[in-house]
Amino acid sequence: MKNPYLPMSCVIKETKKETADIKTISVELPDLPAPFDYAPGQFNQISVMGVGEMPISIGSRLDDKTITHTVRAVGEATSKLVELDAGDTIGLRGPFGQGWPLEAAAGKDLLLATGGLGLAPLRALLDLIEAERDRFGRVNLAYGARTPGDMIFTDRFDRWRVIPDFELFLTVDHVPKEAVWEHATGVVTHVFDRLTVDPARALAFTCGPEIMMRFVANSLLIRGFDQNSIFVSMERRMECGMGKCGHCMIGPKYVCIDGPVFSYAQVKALPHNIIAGKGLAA
Amino acid sequence: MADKLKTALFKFTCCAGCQFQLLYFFSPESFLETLDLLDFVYFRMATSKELKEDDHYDLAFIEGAISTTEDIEKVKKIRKQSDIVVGYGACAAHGGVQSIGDWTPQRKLEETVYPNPLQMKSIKVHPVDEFIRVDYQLRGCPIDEVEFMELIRALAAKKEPYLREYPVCVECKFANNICILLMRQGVLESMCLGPVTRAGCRVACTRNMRACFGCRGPMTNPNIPEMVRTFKGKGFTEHEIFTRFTEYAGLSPEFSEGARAYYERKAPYYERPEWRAA
Amino acid sequence: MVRALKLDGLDILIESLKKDYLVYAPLSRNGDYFFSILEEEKAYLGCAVTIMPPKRILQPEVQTLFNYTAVDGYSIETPPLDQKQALFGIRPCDVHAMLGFDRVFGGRYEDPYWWERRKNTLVVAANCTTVAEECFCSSWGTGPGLDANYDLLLTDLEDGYLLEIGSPAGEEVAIQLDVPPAGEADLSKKARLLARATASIKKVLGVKPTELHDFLAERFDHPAWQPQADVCFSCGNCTITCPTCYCYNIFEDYSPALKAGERRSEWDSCQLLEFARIAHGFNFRRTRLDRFKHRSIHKLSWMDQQYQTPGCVGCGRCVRWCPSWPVRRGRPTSLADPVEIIGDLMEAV
Ligand SMILES: Cc1cc2nc3c(=O)[nH]c(=O)nc-3n(C[C@H](O)[C@H](O)[C@H](O)COP(=O)(O)OP(=O)(O)OC[C@H]3O[C@@H](n4cnc5c(N)ncnc54)[C@H](O)[C@@H]3O)c2cc1C
Ligand code: SF4
Ligand code: SF4
Ligand code: SF4
Ligand code: SF4
Ligand code: SF4
Ligand code: FES
Repeated sequence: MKNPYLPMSCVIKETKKETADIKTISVELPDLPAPFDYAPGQFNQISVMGVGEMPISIGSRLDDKTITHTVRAVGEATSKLVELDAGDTIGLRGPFGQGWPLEAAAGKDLLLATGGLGLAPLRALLDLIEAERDRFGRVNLAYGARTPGDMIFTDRFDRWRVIPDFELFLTVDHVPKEAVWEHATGVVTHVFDRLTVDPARALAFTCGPEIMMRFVANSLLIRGFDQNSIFVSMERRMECGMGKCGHCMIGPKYVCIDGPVFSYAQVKALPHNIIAGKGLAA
Repeated sequence: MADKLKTALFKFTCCAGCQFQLLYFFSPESFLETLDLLDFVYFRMATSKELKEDDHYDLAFIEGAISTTEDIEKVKKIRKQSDIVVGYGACAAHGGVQSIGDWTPQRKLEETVYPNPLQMKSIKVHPVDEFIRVDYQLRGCPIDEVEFMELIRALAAKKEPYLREYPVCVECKFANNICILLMRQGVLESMCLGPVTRAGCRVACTRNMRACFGCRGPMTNPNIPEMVRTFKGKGFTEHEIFTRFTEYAGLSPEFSEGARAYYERKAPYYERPEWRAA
Repeated sequence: MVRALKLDGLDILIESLKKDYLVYAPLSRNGDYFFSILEEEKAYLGCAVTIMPPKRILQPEVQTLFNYTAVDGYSIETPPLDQKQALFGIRPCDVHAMLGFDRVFGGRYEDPYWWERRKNTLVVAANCTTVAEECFCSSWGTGPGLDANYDLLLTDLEDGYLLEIGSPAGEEVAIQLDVPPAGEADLSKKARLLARATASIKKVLGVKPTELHDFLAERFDHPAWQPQADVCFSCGNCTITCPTCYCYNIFEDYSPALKAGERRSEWDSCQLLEFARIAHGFNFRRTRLDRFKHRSIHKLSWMDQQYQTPGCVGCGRCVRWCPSWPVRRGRPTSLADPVEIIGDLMEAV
């Protein structure tokens, strides 16, 4: 029987500092019988041995054996992880969870609305849009951060801007005095007036703090998005990633196996969340 | 291997039992291995090394409660000299047994104990973190060996120790114990504070059919009113309830709430001296 | 028809089991019962709600997932779990709870720790011919008699024991016993005794299991939740003693240099404050109300939605071990008691 608790040991190939506390880590997978296959929006359980395990979204695939993870130091394990450098070893098991609904998105317009580190779980999807542009209609990426310095993947912005039928809207809450900023200010929903996707034929994917996703969803519902067309990526405490330890439960749903991506309609039926308020009845 | 942590252990008002415990611990190999991570430069009970003025410590253990104004100066100095300060034992954490006295006016206490109270310089007892920031707290009367090892290893490895926040009941059930709060009637031995006390002692008391008397202080967010109601329902008197809550950690805001609930007393420190009452 | 034998006493069976298995059985201590390794003591076969359910034998409170050392990456070693063991005198409700664990630890990601132990475990169940005050298995159909899913099944017939054989592994044990087959009369006596036991269960869930999902969904915001939550200690007794509660934590034990260590799992409880807490102290079920509701509804409805297995088997342990006893409908009741929780929710708003 395969033991799904055992992490593979992987070597870090390179690391890149994105912001003051966020780092992108490229890890080399060991030789596997089959290629490591994952869908955009899925996550891995990354171990820093001796410290602990944490769920981290899977980013880009750099080559057959190398994938990236983008991590913010928020606590014990994440802080140790961002301290590591090329050559260090980490543990990895995965991929886990249900990613973004790509089948439903085929041929549709896409709105990706996200804030801060929330762009990380969309990175693999952006790679896919770039590589297989014909699969989707018009794409809008609305990305907000606290300050320009808190934006991640800034080196990719120009690449994304030249994708056909692709608009990138940037916004920050606050511009420090010394910074130059030629884009919008305000929360991410402020750029929604300029969207070029058609609400009637678009899916919206959003990821970020739950309170932000609440504002995004509300704003999109007002603009005519259907509640089955809005998808959120949720975060809960995780231990196993396999629907067994119970920590990630929201009502009867497990974020680790039923999610992390849920439709707004699904979330509305769940208790104990901020996105759609509380309550069990739809 | 990381360098050893330069460590000092200071004693204030207490019975020194927790210090003694360190020597007494049933010493398995792993315990000695852990102890080996420390370089004690000051530990009165175990070494003859003298305290050096203005030394610097990686780690300072403070045992005991603060009960004189000089103590306050001393702990403040220790804080300045040390990277990590660990409160060591129930007295440092919550005042310990002697904190029972805090519920009686100081003058009355002194008159009872000393022939010439006007010469006394002591104040009411206080937990150490009343005066200085304490980084970690080893709770309990006495401290627990496994928890001690966890803390030291974590500090040596520069990571957070895994100290449990949940109540004693969890460990009690892990230990397959009968619940004495429910099963034994009418005796003080059934007056168990386990549902509101923080775990980590590996149920030293309930394992032996004795009620938990809360030596490790409150868990995070305990339900004190319900604990009081439960005791009352079992027929315990107001005084018994008061005594149970104040035995070791009555100075914690949580347990002092329990102590006050049925015993019409004010919290410690707010007791108005009798001479001003009239 | 299943093969059945008639035993005069249990010793012959226990002796035979001990040859091949480490035998666990309900033992008595200070008037209460707990599952432990059977050595010299007498196993108790009356209806004993053991303090802790036998889940702790198959999924210990704390278990090692693996050891690791940091050489050339990480080299990992898992503990051997090949001990052959027998659960002697496990109750029908606890057998049903174990089947529930089979579903939790099965599915897409099979948990090797559970399954290794499970496959090495012989289930020697015992029907309940008497019932305890806290039992309400009949509301769920999980007792007092067991129909399937055992290797061997005992019934106390007063003048001896009926031993039914339910699997080849059970047959292997039974074949070594030199005892006569049971007769028609023994089997009908068993049926009679079980009918009597069922009739003596006084505790009844107010809502049919099939109707619970809707019942609870409609009452998620019922005002009766709050006064219940207010008297909850959040102590976790109700979930830790529950045979169907499976939640756990994963943590590490490590050498100070972090070069070697052990990853372990430890039981956890959704009633505890830290259960749903994430970085920066944010907690999705911070209030007692949210936690109390989560536990109650998970037991009574959500677990069934997740695994198609009931989250409560009516064993009565939470009823017994909850330290909070509020007065409901004029009687002191255990706060954690599912029957009483449903009772509160049945009251009109
Ligand atoms: C599906 C999913 C995808 C994620 N993707 C990313 C990502 O791409 N980049 C990134 O930086 N972070 C991501 N996170 C959040 C990340 O997992 C947490 O920041 C991390 O677990 C915090 O662990 P810690 O030990 O540093 O924090 P501590 O606060 O020290 O952790 C204490 C405990 O809480 C748990 N915990 C704490 N915060 C969270 C959290 N937010 N979510 C889940 N469990 C938590 C940890 O598992 C640990 O057991 C993701 C979370 C989820 C659920
Ligand atoms: S004996 Fe005390 S600590 Fe143990 S379960 Fe009962 S109340 Fe809790
Ligand atoms: S059971 Fe209670 S009194 Fe006894 S050691 Fe533990 S915390 Fe202290
Ligand atoms: S909820 Fe209570 S009665 Fe039901 S199975 Fe669990 S412990 Fe037994
Ligand atoms: S009631 Fe709580 S502890 Fe028990 S299985 Fe459900 S979520 Fe886990
Ligand atoms: S319901 Fe009872 S056993 Fe469960 S957490 Fe609350 S007080 Fe403890
Ligand atoms: S992370 Fe364990 S159940 Fe989802």
